[in-house]
Amino acid sequence: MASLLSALTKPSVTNAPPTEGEQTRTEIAVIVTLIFALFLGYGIRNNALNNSRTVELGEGLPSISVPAGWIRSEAEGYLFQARNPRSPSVFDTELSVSAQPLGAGANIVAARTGLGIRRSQELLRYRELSADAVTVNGEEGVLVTYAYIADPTREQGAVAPPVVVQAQDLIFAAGNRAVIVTVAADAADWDTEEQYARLIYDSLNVRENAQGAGQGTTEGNIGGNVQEGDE
Amino acid sequence: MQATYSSGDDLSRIQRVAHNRSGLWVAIVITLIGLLLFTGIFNFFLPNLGDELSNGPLILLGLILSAVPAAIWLFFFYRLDRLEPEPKHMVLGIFVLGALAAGALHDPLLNNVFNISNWLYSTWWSHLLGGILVVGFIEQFLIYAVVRYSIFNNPEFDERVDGVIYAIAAGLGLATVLNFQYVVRSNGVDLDIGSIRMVVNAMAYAAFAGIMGYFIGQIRFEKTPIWYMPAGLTLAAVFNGLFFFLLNRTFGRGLDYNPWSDLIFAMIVAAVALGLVFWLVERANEETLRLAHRAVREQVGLSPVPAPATTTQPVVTTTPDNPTTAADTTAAAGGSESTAPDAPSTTASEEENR
Repeated sequence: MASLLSALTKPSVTNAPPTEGEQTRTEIAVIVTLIFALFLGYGIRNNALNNSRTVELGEGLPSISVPAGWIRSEAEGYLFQARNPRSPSVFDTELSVSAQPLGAGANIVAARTGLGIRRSQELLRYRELSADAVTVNGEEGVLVTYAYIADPTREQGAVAPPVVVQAQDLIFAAGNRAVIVTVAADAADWDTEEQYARLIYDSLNVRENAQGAGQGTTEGNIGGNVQEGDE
Repeated sequence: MQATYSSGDDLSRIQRVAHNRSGLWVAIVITLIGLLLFTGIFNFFLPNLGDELSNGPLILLGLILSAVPAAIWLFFFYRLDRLEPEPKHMVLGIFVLGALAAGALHDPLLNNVFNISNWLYSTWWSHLLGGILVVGFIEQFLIYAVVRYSIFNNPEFDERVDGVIYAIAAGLGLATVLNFQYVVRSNGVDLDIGSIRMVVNAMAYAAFAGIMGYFIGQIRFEKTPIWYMPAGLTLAAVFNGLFFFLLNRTFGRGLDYNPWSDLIFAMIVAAVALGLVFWLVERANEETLRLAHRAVREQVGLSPVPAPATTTQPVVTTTPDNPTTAADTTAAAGGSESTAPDAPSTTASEEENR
């Protein structure tokens, strides 16, 4: 302790001031320390961004990864629902997972069409932007990107402008059910919030389905979220 | 500790470097009381001041208030440091430079490069480690850079404690900009809670800048090992990160949030940190003077000179301002290879001659 204190208060055995060379050496040491700290900090950042917890959706259904900081909420009709409390917008980025039975002879395309009709009735100014054929854990699926207008502060009595929301529905079959994974965020923040959608899709092994391309309604790849398929 | 000798430094220079400024202690105590009064006014005497104001005036008042803690610090530091105050324009200049550096680099680095809003608060470990390694290091380096690349080589920076004073001025510039941003982002602030937050910021950044300033003062006047300044930067960054981590995690948020506990915590941290810094400065000054006086005593023959002379030839030491001979520098102290930026000399050959 005494030696530490001594080194702290009188690091030199003389009273001589440092030479220019010594000051330059100190300078370099400080900058190297800063760069090293920021490098470690960048690693912490990446770890925190990719930090997730696994959620079991139920028997016969796959599990998904959800960003660790997201808050789970309970809602009727959903297998799982969570939102990002640190979203930059008044509309918190949210994830919801639901499942519906696939009737006899029904397939993913039918489920996707039915969901599109329901969305257009429930959501204000609903507009489908694109749809892609994908594979989810090797099975066929569809990724639909759409937009609508939400008014998240109205329920709380606050006054804020409505928000244009961009969302994606990932629809795939699991057993005799169609699973719908929905990620929605303020359209203005989609680019930054997209990483969370990627994390969720990665846990489901979502890949672009080259064979099924063209089955969708509009353009090709959506938002760069879907990785190239292995096949 | 073994002293070696040269005539590059004279005793008066060392005495100036090691000058203790007891007025600064009083300044710190009075400043802390002043900051408490500032928060007291808005919480007890004018608690509803902001209620009547619309957005525009509220933001304007918030912006004015965000500079008040820094103004109180700087005012008392200056008023009570009467013996040898730093030039007003220098201290103010460093304050403004700190604010400009923070305005130009703080937000772009933290939010655009590191995107801290997306991850820093997601887990306790990312908050703690990110708060130290990213936020702490960037903020403390800004303070270091402002002092190092402006006033550091100026002749006005002539005392060890000046490092602390100028670093605190830079830290307060940073705190003021953060307060500004807080007011603007919140579209005006609740003046009672807002005033507490502004004071907490000012105290915290002044305290951590004080730590940085101590190390800056040391590297200005001492030969330091290579790890010394990086250790200072790391120490200040750790305190910076740890403080805001504890502030966020320990004192409850949401409905339990009590801003007064933040204020008390910040006040204790500021008092302890700055008290420690000035104690260290005084100890370092004592050590410097002790070494200088011992060297003087040895040179006038009161005790044996440790480095035996190899020649009796008179040695000429030249400095740009004040050429002297060895006979003139019997009061010289310290320094085996004195090539001070402000007093270069021919001491290397002098050592050989001896």
